[in-house]
Amino acid sequence: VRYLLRLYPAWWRTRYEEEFLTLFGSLPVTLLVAVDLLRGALDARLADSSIAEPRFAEQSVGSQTGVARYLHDRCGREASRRSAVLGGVLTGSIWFLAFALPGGLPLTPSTVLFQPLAYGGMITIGMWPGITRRGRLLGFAILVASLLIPRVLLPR
Amino acid sequence: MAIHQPEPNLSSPLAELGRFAEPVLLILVSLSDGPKHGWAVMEDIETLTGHRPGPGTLYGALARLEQRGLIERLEAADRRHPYRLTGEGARVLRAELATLDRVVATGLERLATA
Repeated sequence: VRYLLRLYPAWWRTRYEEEFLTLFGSLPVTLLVAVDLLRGALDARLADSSIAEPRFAEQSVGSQTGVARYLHDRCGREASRRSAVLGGVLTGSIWFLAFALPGGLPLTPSTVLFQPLAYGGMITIGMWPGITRRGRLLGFAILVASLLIPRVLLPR
Repeated sequence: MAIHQPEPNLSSPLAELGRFAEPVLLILVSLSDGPKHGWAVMEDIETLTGHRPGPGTLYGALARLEQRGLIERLEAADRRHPYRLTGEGARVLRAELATLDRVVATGLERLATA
């Protein structure tokens, strides 16, 4: 459990990790529990801006205003964007390894490098309700790039 | 004559929570009789529904409820933070249960006349 919690974002671990380990630290990690924790980590990473702000953010930023508030807002948006990409690519890779490869997809540079990105892009665009509009646009850009780049750069 | 049908409560604060909507409702119900920590909430939900939510789902739902001000986290006792329903949480829970009550009543009524 402790190892899986490392996948959660910093704000989540700061707030919940100690309590979580106290309650669930000795829980046997079955496949279902592991999948549930992975989904929880992904949810927390993808939705970190919407969950962490404004209520939790107010607690961490306190009464700071002006530059501090501006920087915090900027960092929050950056974190959200990074989480969108990371979550999409991570999910796409898992999807690729779990379903596409056993389904007989050939192991070429194109499939290994870009299929996970393509799946990640699609999933980022379509499946995460908490994602920001910028995250969705980025997911769309990843999808388009992952489809175009192999055709341009890699040998057939 | 047109029969008035209550519209689905799409503006519900819980409707936007996607896969967390159901666990969130169950957590609110669990906390309606007093503060509980995460493990007690999980066991209470298992008693209510026969299914135990995973810890990742449970804490995802707790975080969302806390962010929306529907529950609040109390001081830790033995490193375990109990959670308590807020006034807003109680109001939202009443509204959700009223909607469910209408759905159940309508369903049973239609089944009886089918």
